[in-house]
Order: sequence, then C-alpha cells, then structure tokens
Amino acid sequence: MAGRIKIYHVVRKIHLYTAFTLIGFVGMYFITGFILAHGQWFTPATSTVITHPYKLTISATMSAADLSVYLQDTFSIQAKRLEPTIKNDTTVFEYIKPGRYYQIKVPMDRTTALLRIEKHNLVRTLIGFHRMHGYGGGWLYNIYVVMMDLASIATILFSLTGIYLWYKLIRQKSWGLLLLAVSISYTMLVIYLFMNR
Amino acid sequence: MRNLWLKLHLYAGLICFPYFIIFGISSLHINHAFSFMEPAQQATLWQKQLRIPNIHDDQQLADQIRDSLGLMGWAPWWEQERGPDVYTFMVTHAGTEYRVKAFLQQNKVEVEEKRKGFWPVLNSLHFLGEEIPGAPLLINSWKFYQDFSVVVMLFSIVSGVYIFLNRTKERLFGLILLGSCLGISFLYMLYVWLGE
Repeated sequence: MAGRIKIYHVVRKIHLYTAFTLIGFVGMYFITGFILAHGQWFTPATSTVITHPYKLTISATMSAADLSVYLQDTFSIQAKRLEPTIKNDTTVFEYIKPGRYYQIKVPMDRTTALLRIEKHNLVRTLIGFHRMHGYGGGWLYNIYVVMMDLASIATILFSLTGIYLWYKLIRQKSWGLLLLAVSISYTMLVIYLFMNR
Repeated sequence: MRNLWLKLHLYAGLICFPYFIIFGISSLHINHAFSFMEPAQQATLWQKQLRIPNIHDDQQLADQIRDSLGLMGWAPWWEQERGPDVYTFMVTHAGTEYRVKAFLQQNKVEVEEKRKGFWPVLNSLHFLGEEIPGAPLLINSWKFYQDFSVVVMLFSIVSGVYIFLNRTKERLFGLILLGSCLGISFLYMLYVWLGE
C-alpha cells in the first residue's frame, strides 16, 4: 500500500514538474502550430526584403563551411546557420531565426556577395518559432532544438502519466474508459484507412 | 470548483491522448529523422480498363481518372506529364503513392501502388491541413480532432496550473519553479528573436 502511494506521488510529481518546466515551450508550440494551421484567420504572413551587394576579399581555398561562419561574423548575422548549397555556380549561404531570413549568394570567383535580408511580420515570426528545428548552426539554436525535443518528450510523458493519474484518482472509471476507447479506436481506424486506401 | 476543473482536465486529456502521443513522436522525428519513419519501397502493379475522357486540362484529367479509379489523394501538378499517347501523373496521400499511366487511345490505366507503412502514416497525423480528395469523412475529420487537441492542450495548461494552485502544500515551490521556468523560456525566446 505504501509502495503504491509512493508510485502515485512520483508519477504526479513527474507530470506536474515536467509541465511546469516546459510550459513555455509546449504552450508556444501549440499556439504557433494553431496559427500555422489556420493562417487564413490571421494577418497574412509577409516579409520586407532588403538586398545589398558587397565586395569580398577571401581565400579561394576556404571551405564552404568556414566561409559560412566567416560571412556570418563579417555581416554580424545572429541567426542559425544552414548547410550551404550550390545553385548555378553560386554558393548560397542561408541563416534563419524567428523574424529574419538571411541569404548570401557568392559566385564561384568569390569576389562579391549579395546579401538579402527578409524581415518577417509578427505572424510569420510566430510561424518561424514553430518551424525552427535541426541541430547545428550555433549553440544558441542548439539549445532551442533541445528544448523542442524536451517539449516533444514532455507531451508523451504528460499523456502516459496522465492516464495513470486518472486511473488512480477517479473511482468511477467507466466514462474515462469509454472516452479512451473511443479516442484510441478512432485514431487506429484513421491510420487503418490511410494504410489501406 | 477544483473538482470540476480536475475532471475536465482529466477527461479532455483522455480524449486527446492519442493525438498527444502522435504529436510527441512526430515532433521528435522532425529533429532526428528516424530511419523507421522512411516510407516502404515495395510497389505493386495493377491495370484497369477505363474510358479516358477527352479533357485537355491536365489537372482536371488527373482528378477525373483518380475519382473513376476510386483512389484518394492529391494529384500534384508538378508530377503530371502528357505525351501523345500516354498521360502520367501521381496521386498521393499520407499512406499511399500511386503512379498512374493512362493510355489515352487504349482506354486503359496502369497503376504502380506504393504503400508507405504504419510509421509514415502516424507521422503525417502530426498535421493534416486540408481535406483529402476522395477520402471518407472519418479521415477528413482528423483535422478537427487535431484542432480540438490543440485547444485541449492549452486548456490543460491553464487548468493544470489552477488545480495545482488550489493545493497549499507545494504551492510556493511550484510557483517559484513555474515562474522562473516560464520567465527564462520567455526571455530566451525573446533573445533568439530580437538579439542582433
């Protein structure tokens, strides 16, 4: 009996304190996800664009990865570095963060750089919070992605610990069992239909 | 009052339990690209005699053939290719990809069907944005269930804090933890956004 009470308190504390610790990120993901899903209900997601050419003086042997860091420092870009890509003999360096998108195009001769800055409005910025993912690109953004992972794990943890807490707290379980059976059956049926149509 | 909020918190959570699990797993996949989420590559091939209508608009023709075959899914314009005798296009949804070859003179279609598997389907249920053409109501109702789950999660956050605050025992520690974590999260997000 004492053991069961202890398990209940441990599970309750996991449910409670996980929620309190990650409430900011979980709340942010669900709110911004809703905005992303129903963009037509809000102000259109827009950006203002500024472009500016620059001259470059850099070594031809510098790797694309090093050049990405160099350009980020040179232009004081505080954003998450993405992997450089090559399009039509031009290397494209991209940096993102909620509210901003930076793109620097450097041709093969590496003598010039075309900097493009997109400043997003509030709706697009909020969507940017939801969409930022993938490790790499700087320690500040790696922390963000760690928090995203923890929020994802927390959502699973809330659900599983929540089931246990409901089972222990509520004496009359028939309504809860019915709701659980209906929701799980509905989900499995949707998955079944997708797999077989 | 606390009991009412507790029951609403519990029962709403039970209704949305499957979506929260799906959301957690699919969100982890976004950052970690799990290999088991990759679609299966096995394909089956089948043919059917079908009167191909004389429609010049590629999208309309793809939609018409899809509906005549009883398939469900979108027919993206960038996968459509029309030749003198053959019109090829794709019909796709979370669970299956069909590559359709319509032989215009022979009134026949050949379909390569690839079923993606359980995990890709589960992953796609993270977000279903619009109605799938040809899909039954049960599938198209998922987007309402996902919206409802979003509302429930936000309600659960508010109701969970309320339920907690009604108990005096851990109130102080809980408030300190809640306030500091919420504050740090908010300031961090603000710095990510505005830091120059």
